[in-house]
Amino acid sequence: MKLLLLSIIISNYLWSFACPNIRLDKNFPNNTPRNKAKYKTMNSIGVKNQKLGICYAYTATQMIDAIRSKRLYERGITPNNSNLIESSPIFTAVTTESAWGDEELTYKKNGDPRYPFEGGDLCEAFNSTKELKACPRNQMERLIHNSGLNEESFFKRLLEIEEEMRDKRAQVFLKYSTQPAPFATSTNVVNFFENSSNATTELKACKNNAIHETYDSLKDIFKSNFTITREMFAKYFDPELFSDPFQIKSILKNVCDARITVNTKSTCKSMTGRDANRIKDTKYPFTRKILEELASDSVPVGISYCGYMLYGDKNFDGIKSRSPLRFQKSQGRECGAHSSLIIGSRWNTKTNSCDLLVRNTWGTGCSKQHYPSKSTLQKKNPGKSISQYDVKCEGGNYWIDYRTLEKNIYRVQHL
Amino acid sequence: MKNFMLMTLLFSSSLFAFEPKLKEVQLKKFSAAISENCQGDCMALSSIKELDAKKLASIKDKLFGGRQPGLMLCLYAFKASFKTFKDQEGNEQTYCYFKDQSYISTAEYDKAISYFD
Repeated sequence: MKLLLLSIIISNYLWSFACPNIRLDKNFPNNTPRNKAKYKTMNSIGVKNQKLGICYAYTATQMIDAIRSKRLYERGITPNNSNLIESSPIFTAVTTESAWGDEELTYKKNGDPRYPFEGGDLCEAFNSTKELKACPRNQMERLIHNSGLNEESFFKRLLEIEEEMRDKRAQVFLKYSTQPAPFATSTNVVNFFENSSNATTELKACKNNAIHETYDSLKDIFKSNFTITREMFAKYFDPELFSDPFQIKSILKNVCDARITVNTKSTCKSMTGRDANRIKDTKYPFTRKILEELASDSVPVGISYCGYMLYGDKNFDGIKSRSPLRFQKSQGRECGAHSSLIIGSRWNTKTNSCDLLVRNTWGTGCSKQHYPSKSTLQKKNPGKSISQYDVKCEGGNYWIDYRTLEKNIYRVQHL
Repeated sequence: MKNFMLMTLLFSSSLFAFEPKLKEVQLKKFSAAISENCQGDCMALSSIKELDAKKLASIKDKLFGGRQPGLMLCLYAFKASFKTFKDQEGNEQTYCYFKDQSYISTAEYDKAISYFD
């Protein structure tokens, strides 16, 4: 019995060393415990509230901004809202080639829109934006605002233009191809245009009209920000315009001209379920990796995990198998694949356990039943002092016990 | 220069003009912050009262790419629109905005979900 007690004490003691007190957003209350982070790289990066299904892009751009924040600290400058311009998640999502996948457009005219760039990989988004340079979020917002549309309808309109373009292309095909209508498949249409170098004047004119009409539609959306000349557009998009997919990515690169350099030589790397399964000396391979990365360079660590963990109690377990990745479906509440950042860790002296701070992108609220905020606890226990370790929600940031997190993570992404 | 400043002011105010004014309302299991202009059973209050597992199930297929359940409930289960408030530190929160001008934070729906069995 004594031996068991001793081993628990030793194990806790060792864990407390492995779980450093780090916060990248701010210090701990009353500076107790002491913050071991070298730089508070998330200090001037606010909590986001995503609208579209692009959590991976929100997470990637916050990582990018944290690196930019770190560079400012290294130059002796304290980052703030004016010297650290936010990167645009929507630009990152749209310009990440792999986020578009192979599928055709899944947006439906009369149904619920699902944009082709929703759902993607954090590391691919990070690496793509690093190469391409980020777009300032205020520039992207201004673009959308000036079009008179909101974020959703802006992209809906762009995708409608793509559909219109497809229709025009198919009409040209049906008029000039010898093949009947059922053969107007995407591949056949593209092949037809690629092989139509000896096209008649009429066919060329038809293609030109389609290009000019598309140009006008885009000019109508982007207005003065659309600086490509008609001639350049026709030259650049012919014959590319007649290939799949439509070049929304290229257009966004053009309209966002003041881009931000992501000053790092590092690339984003993933630790997958398969990697985790190979590690035999710990039951918590993802936690260990997160803590190592967090302590090493003051940059937040990306995680892919079951979003429903944020609603469930500490026993919620959304993953059936990590490799191959399979989610639980028997609990009524499914995994809800999601990406967020880990921006801190603390040794919880009340539970003798390690808590990790998850920065979510669903606004400043938290699901308060399992993750109460300080004000919720104060209302429940008027007059009593509240321990910081009982506070599980801090304005959209969740303190989660490492065991709960480990049960619901399937990928860790880091630099 | 003057024009530029005026345009900047106009533009920035139109983007982030929305500033929520809220009051606390006690519900069965928790309290929720609802717009001050809510009179009686306004639409915002009714929405949080009638939120149940069935409504949540109705938006299940919308929850891809880490979309926020609270916001999806607002848009698809309650057919309302949303506005975003951004504070000076850059923290954002969306509010579900109803036809009768009442509104509620989408985080309140997230909170309600955590009370479902």
